[in-house]
Amino acid sequence: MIRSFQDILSKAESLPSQRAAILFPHDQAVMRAVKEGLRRNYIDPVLVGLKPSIQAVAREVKLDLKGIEVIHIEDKQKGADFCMDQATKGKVGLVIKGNILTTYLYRSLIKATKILNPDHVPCTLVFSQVSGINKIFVITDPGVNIRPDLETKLKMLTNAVSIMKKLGYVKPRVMLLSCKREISTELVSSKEGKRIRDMSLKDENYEYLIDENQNLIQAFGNQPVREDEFPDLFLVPNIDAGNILVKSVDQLFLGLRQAVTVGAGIIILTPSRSDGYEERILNMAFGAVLAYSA
Amino acid sequence: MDFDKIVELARQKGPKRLVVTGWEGGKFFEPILEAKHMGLVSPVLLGEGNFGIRDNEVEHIHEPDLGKARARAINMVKEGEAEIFMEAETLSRSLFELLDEKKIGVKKKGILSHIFLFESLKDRRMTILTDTYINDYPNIKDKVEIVENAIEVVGILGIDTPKIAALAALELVNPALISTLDAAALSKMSERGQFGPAIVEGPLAMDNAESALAARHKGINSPVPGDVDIYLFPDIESAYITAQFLFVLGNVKHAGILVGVNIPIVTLTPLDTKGSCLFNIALAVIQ
Repeated sequence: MIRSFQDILSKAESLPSQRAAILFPHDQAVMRAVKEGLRRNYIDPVLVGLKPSIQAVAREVKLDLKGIEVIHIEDKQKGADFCMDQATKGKVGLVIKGNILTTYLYRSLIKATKILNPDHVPCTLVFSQVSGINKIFVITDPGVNIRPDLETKLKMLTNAVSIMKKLGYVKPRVMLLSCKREISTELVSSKEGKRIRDMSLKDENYEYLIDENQNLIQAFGNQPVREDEFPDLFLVPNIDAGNILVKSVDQLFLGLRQAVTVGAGIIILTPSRSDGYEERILNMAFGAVLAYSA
Repeated sequence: MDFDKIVELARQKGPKRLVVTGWEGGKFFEPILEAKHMGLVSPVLLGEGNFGIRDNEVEHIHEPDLGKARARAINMVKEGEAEIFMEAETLSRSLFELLDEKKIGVKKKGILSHIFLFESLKDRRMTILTDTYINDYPNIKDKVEIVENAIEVVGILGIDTPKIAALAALELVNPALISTLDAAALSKMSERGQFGPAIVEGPLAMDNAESALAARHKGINSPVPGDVDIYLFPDIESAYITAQFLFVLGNVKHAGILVGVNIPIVTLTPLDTKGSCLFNIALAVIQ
């Protein structure tokens, strides 16, 4: 199990590079990260987007494009579809979001997932590291599913846990977050959380353990966090809760986060468009480790 | 303004007469006594017996029935016999329903809401999250009132032109995501001066709310990103979960206030500790 992003960087150094499609790398921070990812042997890039812009930004960051495949596609959705097609055919191990709205990639991934494995539900997993706890925990889904119902949540759990197992989590401890409290006890998130836990208790083959508590206050109250009882995976009730929480990890808690979106075995790195060079390098290392383990 | 300054200001304005119910459990008795010794309040305890109280200077009124004690305590504040009402237990459904009831007369014209104040880990700036405890899924009308409630509170902290980030999962308006529509409407209302000098910007994702650079990167030109006083959350799940993580993992110095009431009331949530309880009392004193 990974305990810190430093573990990821170390592991990525020792692995062969991964063929990666980078969609719309029309931004200095993205292109500098590509250059460094190439130097560190994390990725073997295919650059997809507007060729003149790619060439111009590459010149700005002094990246020699000789030997690097550049695919000219003007339309953003077609570019995303092309990347997904490459991943589906196994021509690339991962897809990396450049300076483009994530929505284009989500649309392509949802389409590809329906074809490859209609029973899968794509979701975004954010791996988070904060001081005060010596483990990386995962939050899902801050990106794809707006307000998942019980069935969707179960599929998201299966998807998330399958990725986590590849990173060495044996039987992840899952908390199905809900803000049930004394003045409001009838939240759907709480009822669905309880149903999922009841279902999991009836079947010992479940690949994860559902925490009986539905939020951190229920679990720890005012007491210090017990690391072994701290969940490995948090499933949030809706996209607003997830997105705000994961971005609070670095913005309010001064922690680190890395986002990947997965569906039917396809891995997309989905850093925020506002992420800078350092975050993107780490993201590539993370993607390389994940793609290698897949 | 930080918590030390709030306590100092409360010391200057105190002692105020604090009438307390639900103290018998003892969990929050210590901060009440501390507030007394610091000169913030002069407590009056309403309840059963005076067991466990070693401090003879604490006034006690015998009223074993909690419902009657609450009604009497609130009435004492309304009649000017006391200045602050406090229940020294986590906010219960019965107390919430009492406060929310029109006839008890402590609610202003809008809804009740809760704010969570904390010192930012980044720069120790006093930052507010709302609504972190009361309303499950507020609609746009509720959100207007939650914003108005929060604006009133930051006034006591010396912030006259609060900058408010209306948060959502995206910074783009997406008809499939109601939080973005509500945030955009609030932002437009602010543009038209409907929140006075306060500026509401939204929808903003947390990263572009916190960083002016990240916001500009996404084409958002506004004075709010990077300088937020109040974060307005779309619903209880997003707000209370974030506040819990800040409390449990960030270990932030914090306080909480029930707002939308016309008398100072100290309430406690599961996020409260003895330390935060003292700050809650101090905030009520300076109101």
